[in-house]
Amino acid sequence: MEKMGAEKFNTDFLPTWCPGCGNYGIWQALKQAFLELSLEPHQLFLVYDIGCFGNGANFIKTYVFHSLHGRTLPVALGAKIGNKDLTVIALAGDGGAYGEGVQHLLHTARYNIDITFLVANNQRFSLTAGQASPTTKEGTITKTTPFGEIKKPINPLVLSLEAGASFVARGFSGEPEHLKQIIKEAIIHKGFAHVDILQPCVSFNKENTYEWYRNVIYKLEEHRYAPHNQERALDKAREFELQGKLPIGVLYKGARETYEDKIPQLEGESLAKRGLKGIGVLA
Amino acid sequence: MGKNEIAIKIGGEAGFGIKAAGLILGKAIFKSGAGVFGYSEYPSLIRGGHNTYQMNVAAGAVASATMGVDILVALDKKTVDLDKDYVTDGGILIYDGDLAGINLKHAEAIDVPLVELSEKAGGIIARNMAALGAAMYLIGLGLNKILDEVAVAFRDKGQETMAMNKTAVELGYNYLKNKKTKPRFNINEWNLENKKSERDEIMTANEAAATGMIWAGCKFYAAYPMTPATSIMHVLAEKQREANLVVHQTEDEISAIGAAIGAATAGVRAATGTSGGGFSLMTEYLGLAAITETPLVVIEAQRTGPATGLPTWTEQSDLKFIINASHGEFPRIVIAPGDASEAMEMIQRAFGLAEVWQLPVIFILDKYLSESDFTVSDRERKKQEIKRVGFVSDKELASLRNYKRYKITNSGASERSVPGQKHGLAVFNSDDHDECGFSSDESVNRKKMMDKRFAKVKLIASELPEPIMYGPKEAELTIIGWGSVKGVVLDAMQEIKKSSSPISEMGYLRKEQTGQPKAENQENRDNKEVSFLHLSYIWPFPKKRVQAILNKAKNILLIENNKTGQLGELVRQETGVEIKNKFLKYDGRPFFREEIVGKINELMGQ
Repeated sequence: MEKMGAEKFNTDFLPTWCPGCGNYGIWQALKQAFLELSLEPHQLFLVYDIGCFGNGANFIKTYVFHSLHGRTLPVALGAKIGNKDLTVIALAGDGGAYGEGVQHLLHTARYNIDITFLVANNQRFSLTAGQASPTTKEGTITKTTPFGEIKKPINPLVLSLEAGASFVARGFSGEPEHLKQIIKEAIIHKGFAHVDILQPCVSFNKENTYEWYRNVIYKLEEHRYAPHNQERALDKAREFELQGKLPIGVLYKGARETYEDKIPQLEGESLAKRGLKGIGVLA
Repeated sequence: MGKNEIAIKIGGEAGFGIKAAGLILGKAIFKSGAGVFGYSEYPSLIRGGHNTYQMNVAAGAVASATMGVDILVALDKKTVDLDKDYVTDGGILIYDGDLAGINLKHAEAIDVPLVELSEKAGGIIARNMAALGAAMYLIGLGLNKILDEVAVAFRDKGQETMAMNKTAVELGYNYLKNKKTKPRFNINEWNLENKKSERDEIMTANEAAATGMIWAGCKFYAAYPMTPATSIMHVLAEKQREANLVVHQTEDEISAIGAAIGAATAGVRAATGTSGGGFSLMTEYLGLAAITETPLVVIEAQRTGPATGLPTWTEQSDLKFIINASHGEFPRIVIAPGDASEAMEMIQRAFGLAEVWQLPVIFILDKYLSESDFTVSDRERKKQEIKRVGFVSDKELASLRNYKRYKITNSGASERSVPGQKHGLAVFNSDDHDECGFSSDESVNRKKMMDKRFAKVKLIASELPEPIMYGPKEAELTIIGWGSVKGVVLDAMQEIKKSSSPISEMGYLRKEQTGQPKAENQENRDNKEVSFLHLSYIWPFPKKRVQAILNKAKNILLIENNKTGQLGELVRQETGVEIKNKFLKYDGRPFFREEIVGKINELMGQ
């Protein structure tokens, strides 16, 4: 799907993901979204987690912050307050987003700061070679759950909806064109935008394959779904548990004043710009 | 304690307004021209328990608390029971006879019906104010002086509350006046003229640090409440709109340091602050600031540990932890001011150092500094010039073909771009990385990058201000200490010398020397020569200076508010000097002046 121009977001490093990894689709969708939104590399501040998806920090040509495991959102929030002119995106896997750093998801959703959170959810810790993650289905056998996972998985979209995220969506890495649209909407949305991206792990998740996903997903916009009601969005977020179907698309989009808009000190020029006056930086 | 000094202590339950009353009295006395040092003790609860606020009042500067008190104001029976033995010979206990009967042999007990007087004024809640009035009468200061301070303290509380509190003060004052009680410690008889500027202020080190942060151009402060660091956030939150900075209260300390790193990366001067427990949580991110070479100021206001420890009490027990916090090896700067004036001055330097060297600077306070009231003179209240350095300009970037954020340089610091600059793309990477920031685990590169970061240490060490030596060059006894022991050690040294010089003059002489290394040799010789080496810029360790001084010292005494003598261990590690005499205190309380005086006398063969 890569169209002319998206290659400007490529670095000199080629992705090191496994052939067939869902990360490729997300990577393509992301670059394409930037291109179509006319975002320039220097306007983007991407904060990556640790993990397979986090390694994407090296493969995209923007300003990139490669953070600690579970700790993308605090850095993203600080950078957005520091320079509100930046388009700030945090990118994490299900381990970092829903395990190690889940408190940051709940609270950043609550603050409703204008950043986008893209979570590549393959239901495994893959960079450490395939352990159960917070989204792994009960009963799944992995190296750390040789007798089957006994914990109930987290429903990340229910969490962020309840916490107050003003934009909640689900995408699928096997549908990069559709995913690109979601990412574009998420970036344009004023407020905290959480996108859970379903993603096969070809090496460590033999159950949730591309084929498996294609059998359960459907696109919300093809069913005349209007994403403006939080209760309906919660129903959609729970649909897989209840009915075995996985809706993808924008589940919820609400208008809520952003965190930074409620801080009068941030009116006018960005903090960074003001503080760096006179030395030719961000001039 | 000298003749021209008294200690007044107010005690009662939490919720009685002990600290509020103490501060009002302290400020009234301070405005009369005397020096004031305020020290508070309280347990971790909102109602009940035993709270005290003690102020040492002197003709000159005073920077420590004594154990003995001349006037004890007891608002409840517990205060009488717990504190009466600390009343000095000839001292006074003010108490409410309806609450506690009392018979003291060494001091006079004066029954003031505080409950009755406050009820007459409008409510028992004002009993602290009735007690203030009585105390004010005993030290010979006019009623108006305290009424002015009451007016300031209650200005936002409504007319009724204001009137009640003022009336209670008057009733307390007039009660003793009408009984023709003689004022016992008349501070008007002290020689107070021209000792200070009207613009001198009393403030805690936290308040001083907050002011310094604003002056340093800090535009983002992220924190999670934790005693005793919280009041920094209170002050900054209050002033954030006028100072144009953003205070962000986070979900936890991890998020606080993360957000500060994000803002700093964006080019904003940023800081976070906490106590030991929160700092423990921050340590992984501390390493991230180091490897991404992000300028960051972290305030660590210590309290007793481990774990929750004594949450509202003081200790200097995090020094070695702070110097070593986080896994892996990286350079950092550690600064521990000795009082509020130094906190104000050094926090400004902290921001400058963080920016020049692009690394974390950890600023150590403790409960004693964070919550005691110090005098900060007009002269010491100086805003330093803000110099934004270490950036690469848009123009330079445009002319460069290939900007490298982590370019290897001799100094170890590389010019940094900030996100948003057109040709300055970089990866700020928690993986070790090449000069552009891309992950690299290649062996030659790893070594180069480690050496690059550590190249900074040598230059930092040569540029940091040296530890200050107080007292004569040659002394019978050389004390060494760091951070918050400064005031009490200096006051103890004055006390030992005071037979030849009035404390007022000596006190101000000492004040003038604060912060200036030329303090040596300025004091008169006498037969009890004690010098004091005080460390504020602790890491990188000022090896040469400490080694030179300690090697020449006749007898060395280490004074630290901890169990294991952490500075002593650092001294041994860095200089090979083993200090045998250690005076360590780790019961949650700070050193009181008498304890230091006693220890010096013991070692000097008195």
